[in-house]
Amino acid sequence: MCCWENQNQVVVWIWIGIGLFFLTTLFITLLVINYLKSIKKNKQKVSTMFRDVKKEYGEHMLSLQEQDRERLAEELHDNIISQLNIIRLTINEKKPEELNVDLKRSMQMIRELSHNLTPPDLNEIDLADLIADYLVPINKNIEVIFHHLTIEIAISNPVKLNIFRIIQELITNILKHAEATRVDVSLRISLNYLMLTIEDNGRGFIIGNHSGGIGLRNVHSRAQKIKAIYKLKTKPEKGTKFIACMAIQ
Amino acid sequence: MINLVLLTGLIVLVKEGIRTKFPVIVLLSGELTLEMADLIDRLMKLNTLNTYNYALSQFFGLVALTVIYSNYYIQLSRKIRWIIYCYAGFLLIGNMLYIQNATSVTFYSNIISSIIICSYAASYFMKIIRVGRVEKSMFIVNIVVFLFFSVECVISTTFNFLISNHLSWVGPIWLLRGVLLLSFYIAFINLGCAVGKIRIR
Repeated sequence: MCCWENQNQVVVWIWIGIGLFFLTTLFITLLVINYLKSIKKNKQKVSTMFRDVKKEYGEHMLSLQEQDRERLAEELHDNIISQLNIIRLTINEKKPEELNVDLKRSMQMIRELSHNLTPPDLNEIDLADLIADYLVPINKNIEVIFHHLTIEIAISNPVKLNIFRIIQELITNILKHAEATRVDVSLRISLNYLMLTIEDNGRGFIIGNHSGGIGLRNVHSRAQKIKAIYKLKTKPEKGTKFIACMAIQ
Repeated sequence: MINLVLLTGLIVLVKEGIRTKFPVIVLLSGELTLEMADLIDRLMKLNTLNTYNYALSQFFGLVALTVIYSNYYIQLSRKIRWIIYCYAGFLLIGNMLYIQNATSVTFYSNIISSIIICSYAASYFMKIIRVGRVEKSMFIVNIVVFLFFSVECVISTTFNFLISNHLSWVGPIWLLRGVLLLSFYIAFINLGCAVGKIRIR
């Protein structure tokens, strides 16, 4: 007892010590709670974003499906059914040889349609050959020039497929709407980059009027999938030029 | 009151099954025994025995909390655990031998055990920040443990003063310790009840 000369002062210091520990604990607790709250908030934000993206993706998928169905129906109605209708109406007037030619043409149309719908075997073929094979039948209706400068480098199947689908989409658009007489397709593959250019001499369009179309949205989503950047240059009556570039990893 | 709470908590936990909550049950039953011994000593006016009880309680608290923290809270290597157990044993022997009479007891060495337990709680706070999620009952226990053992540091330092004086300001300190101890036991009973739901190492 002799050691504690001013006892009240000692008690005050003990209380101060206890108070300080209380404050420290309170401070740490509040800090941790606030931190956990902010994490929870961020998680909620991320999950909301994820939900939105998923919803958007679903909607996009549905619209793409609808677009495909529409295209299929259009193709069947405008080409194959009308061709078969002509055969049906002229069956008595035409000679068997002529009918045979017409039927063969119809069969070819169905074959082409089926070929376009089925994804090609990407393991066996390289990208330049795939594009060249696709462009051969188109070359009959319109002048298509395909330049390619490629090195032997492994390109993944999803990249091949997406590039191929982008080309398909753009060529279909050119055939349908551009009224072009010539299409230049160029593919360059270097060690680090892949560059695709598709240019036509058609009637072009005003970008603002068509940028929201399903076809161009499809091109956009495919370019995003393979992390490619692209630019569409067009002016009315000045043709259209599409340039896409992606890094090869 | 503390004894009553401990007894009720123990009954509840044992009734729920003791497999996963074994360390919590051991802590609570050990503390109940110590509290009961403390009460009996006080009734029999054996004040010297109370100081032995304090040393024993510190030893038991350090060992039991090391087991509980390494089971439910943080990763403690076997080597560290054994160092702490050995330290607790030496501390107990030292404290028992050092007490000469009821008026000159000091427990300065207990500050280290309190700091060790506080560092468990601090490590768990760090773990919460790292992982980014927490189980409520474990968090409450951690806060109470951190608070109780940091206050216990002050009490261990001034133990001699606190038991030798009967000032009007000393009583509330013991009362505060009692309240904290009660919160400590309740938090552990709560943890024991929630043990089935939390992931155990």
